[in-house]
Amino acid sequence: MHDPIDHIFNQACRQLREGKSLPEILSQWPGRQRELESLLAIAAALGSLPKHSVPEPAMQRKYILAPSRRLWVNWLHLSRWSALSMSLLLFAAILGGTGYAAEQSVPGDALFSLKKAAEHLQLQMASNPEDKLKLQVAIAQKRLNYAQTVVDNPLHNPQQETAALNELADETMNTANAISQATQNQTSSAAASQDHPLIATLNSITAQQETLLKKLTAQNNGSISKDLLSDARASTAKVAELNQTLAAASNDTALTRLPAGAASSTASSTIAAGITASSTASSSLTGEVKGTEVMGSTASAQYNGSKTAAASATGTPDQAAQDPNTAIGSFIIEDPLPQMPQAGPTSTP
Amino acid sequence: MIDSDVYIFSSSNLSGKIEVPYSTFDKAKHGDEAAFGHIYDLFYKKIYRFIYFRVSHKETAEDLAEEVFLKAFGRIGSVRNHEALEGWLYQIARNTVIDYYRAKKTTVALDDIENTLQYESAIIDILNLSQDQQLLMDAVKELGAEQQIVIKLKFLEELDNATIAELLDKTEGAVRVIQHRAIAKLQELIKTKLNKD
Repeated sequence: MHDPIDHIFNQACRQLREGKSLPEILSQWPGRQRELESLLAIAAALGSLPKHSVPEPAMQRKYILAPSRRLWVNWLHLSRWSALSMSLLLFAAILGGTGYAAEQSVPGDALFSLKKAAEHLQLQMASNPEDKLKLQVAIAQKRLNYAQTVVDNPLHNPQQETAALNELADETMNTANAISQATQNQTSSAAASQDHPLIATLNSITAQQETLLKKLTAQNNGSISKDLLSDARASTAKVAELNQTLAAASNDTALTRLPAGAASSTASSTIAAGITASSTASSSLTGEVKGTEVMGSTASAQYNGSKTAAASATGTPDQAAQDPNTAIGSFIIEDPLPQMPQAGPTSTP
Repeated sequence: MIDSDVYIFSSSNLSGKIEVPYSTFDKAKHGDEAAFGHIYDLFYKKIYRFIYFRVSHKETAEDLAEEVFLKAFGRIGSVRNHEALEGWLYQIARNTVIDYYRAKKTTVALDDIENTLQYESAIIDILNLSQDQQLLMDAVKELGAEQQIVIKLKFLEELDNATIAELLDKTEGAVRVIQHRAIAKLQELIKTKLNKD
């Protein structure tokens, strides 16, 4: 059965574009050579018309700034016109039209500092500590996403890569500091539990930051900006420190799960009682996480009071961890280390 | 930022259909930004070139191309399969260009942007055509509107039939038939012109 001529011609055109010679193409359809030859001559003439050069574009990847469709972003309860956009609109009113350009900017752009200022404003405007932490993590995630696309781009742009990874390291550090602060102040459920999704996200961001640094180092034949390396290591160390703090805190509350016979000394019983009281306080804190800061502060005061009682009985949690003769010490020694890249000295018992 | 040096796109880089791995497409459909980033890397220059030929301005073409991928990122969940992705992106690009001209309140009939060769000079270096090439371009202008569009998209912009079919809302078979008939018609027109001369 013969193929229709339009089908044959289409195949012939494709082969011509792929670089096959005319005789080679025509030899496939001996019965149609004459017809095909003149048609292909015109097709070849069209293809060889002189064309204007097209300027090389700057690939800015602005899709990264689109509202994410992933579920965890919905936690932030951000509408399409998010507070970030509103902040930048405010900046636009002041700066006369540069707000949109700022919103679209990425690390290394001239207007990126404006965007960061708007993000900072949005953080300040967050209605409660929990939302603030979620937003902080979301910003760090955005930086990671952008850095990944830049480093993975086969068309390497060293300046873009360095700018992207610097901003990632900065935001990772900011996020770790924010959660650390919340841990100290007990103002958020994320700060009370190592298993909280925000902590898991931060750990994931940090691990992927390490991966990107290794990729960049390999791409650049072992050489990488010292400042970038220093910043990245500092942020990784901060996250590791945060995980240790949270692990220690969760060990304290985990003592409530011990059976009564496990506490072999009077001091331990006192500690367990103290921890139980503080655990109740932290549970109510978790339950009231969306409450006002005043309520959070009250719960925080209760927790800190209980913790002080526990600490005074055995010294600091670290000291207790080093004492294998107490139930607390033995429990902490058996707890697995947090899964974090080791970027600095740790206080592993 | 990439330096804005003049760069001649190699036909081998931009012609022919781009194969998107199904896994990449599926991940992008489910919101994976890294996977969408790969799609962006695969198609950006083709989309930018398509738009550049219609607006003739680098920065505008860049902005509109970014807008295309911004829209695509939000809507990729609606694409039926990875083979339809390229044509779908070109459709968004076409509509984005139309919206651009609409926003400029241009008096040019918007359909004419696609139906005529009014922007052929953005693609072809008409000042450096040989006599034979000029004859060929004159013959192209005498084709019917639909045939002109297919010839322009296929042979000047080097789009594949599947993409052309998506843009014109036709089947690939219909595009093949139009293509063949257009070339056959050009053959007749050129013969007539040569005989006249």
